[in-house]
Amino acid sequence: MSAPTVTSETVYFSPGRVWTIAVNTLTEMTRQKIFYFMIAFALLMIGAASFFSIFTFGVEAEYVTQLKFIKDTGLGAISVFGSIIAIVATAQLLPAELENRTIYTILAKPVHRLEFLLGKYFGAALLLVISVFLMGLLFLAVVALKERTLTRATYHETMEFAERGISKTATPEQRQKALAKAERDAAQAVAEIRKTSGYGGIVKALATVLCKLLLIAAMTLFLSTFATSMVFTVVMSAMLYFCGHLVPVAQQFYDRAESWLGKLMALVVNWVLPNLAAFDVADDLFAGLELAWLKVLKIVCYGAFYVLVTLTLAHLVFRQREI
Amino acid sequence: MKGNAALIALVLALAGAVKVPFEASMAADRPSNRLMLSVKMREQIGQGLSLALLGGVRALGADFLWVAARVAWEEHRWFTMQQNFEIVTLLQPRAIYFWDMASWHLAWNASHAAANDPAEPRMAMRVRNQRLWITAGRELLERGIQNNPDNAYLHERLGWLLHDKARDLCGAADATLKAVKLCKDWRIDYLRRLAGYWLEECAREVAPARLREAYDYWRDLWFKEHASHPPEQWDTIDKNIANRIQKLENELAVPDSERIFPKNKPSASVPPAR
Repeated sequence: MSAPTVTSETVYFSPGRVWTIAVNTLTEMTRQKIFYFMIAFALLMIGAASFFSIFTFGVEAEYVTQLKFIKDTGLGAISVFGSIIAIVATAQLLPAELENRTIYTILAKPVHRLEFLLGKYFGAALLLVISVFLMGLLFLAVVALKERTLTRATYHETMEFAERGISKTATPEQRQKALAKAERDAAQAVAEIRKTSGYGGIVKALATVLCKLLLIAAMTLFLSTFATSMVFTVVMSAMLYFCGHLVPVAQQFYDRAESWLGKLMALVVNWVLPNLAAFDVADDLFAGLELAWLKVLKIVCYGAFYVLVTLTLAHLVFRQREI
Repeated sequence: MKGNAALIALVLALAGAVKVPFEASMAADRPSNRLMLSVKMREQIGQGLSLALLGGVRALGADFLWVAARVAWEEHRWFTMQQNFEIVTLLQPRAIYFWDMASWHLAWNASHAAANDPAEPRMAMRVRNQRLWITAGRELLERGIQNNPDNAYLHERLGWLLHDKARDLCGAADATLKAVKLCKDWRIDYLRRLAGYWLEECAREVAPARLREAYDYWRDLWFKEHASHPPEQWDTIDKNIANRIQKLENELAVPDSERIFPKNKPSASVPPAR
């Protein structure tokens, strides 16, 4: 009696297998010291952000600038270190499997190449979610700490200023009236500082940064499906990262270019590459523009759409790759 | 293999077809995402543009350049400071603070330093350099307004710059009038008065034909103030408005029937019906 043959046609797609590979990938990645270094550097930078307050030009609306510097540094650090983690972590997924020959063992079992690919991607995605969560938590803590310092200082300054302004000959009623007014002014200033902190905006910005990182990871995975070395994948991913941020410039260039070649190049860049600048909402936050959840949802949808497109491309390449 | 390549090309083409209108709708939602790049600016920033393209660190790049501008300011390296301001405002065109402070440094600090430059013995050159810095500050602020046309504060700052540094009194009045139209916060009361004073100053010193406009403005403000306060608080309304109106009514020889303050009742504090 011969054993039943298992072909790819008889094995159905299994989210369970994808999850198993994802968890395994995450475990593998968390064993590498480089990610701890990256996260440590990011946390250090976010933590040090409050020292930027010394670089404000004057006292006028100082809290706005101080909080702006902290938010810029925090979001910038999360974006940069997150991007490095996304690229380096994902770039080594397939080459490492090929080098260690573990991919043969896995694909010899009833595992679809698509499951393998998705498992690897979700493993990297989990690492990114954890990294952004940790960095975001510290970032919010730094903002909260600065806000507390600023609100206390502002309150005391306002009250002291009012005390000094009260005439020595003032009656108790006049004194009480002046202090009540100062109290109202201080409360207004404190409310203004709290508004400037904008925790809701920060959370929204973190969500868009995470979307960008997930897209970068997908793009890197796509490159690694046909790359022969990890270095090539890392370099090409970095190039794609910069080109992705160039898309708005390419759009402008397309409108203004006079030569057909220039127009064609700008068109190709605009058509093929995702616009990574679309995920940067920092400017909106500091401009005091309201970043509605609907806008964030649009950005998330845009990111999800491109992750889907990139993973489809990765699958198309990987399914025919000779291993 | 060829079939696979065709499939990949098809996916890319389809993705592009979906992407372009999607991005257009996103850009409409978020105007700040568009980088305003003039030819002049691109020439100025050179390598600095690469900073802008770092994407996620655009804001961070702007902050570091702001710090560099601060160092340049402390060391009186005005041109370096100006160059940094240009890049900073390019990287974060929606950050009002940058436009405001940068233009102030150029039009006030750098221009003052040029006017008192010990290395330049010729007074004419000092004055010329002073004007150049004021113009640089004004141009920067005007660019800030182009990027943030609805921001009342930048219009107000332009008004101050034109009034105090460029001595363009009518320009200052017009900028402040625009600020009044755009202002939606507690500054509105102060801005309304400021616009009135500067409009009158413009009329008295530059354009006498606008004196009637100044009178109409004060008159309109007078009615607005009374309409926005209950009668028991009318006494708290700024008496200077009444003084300006009385003075202008006399100067313009406004007929008694049209006056808020008829000649025979100069102390009237309750506005007549319009």
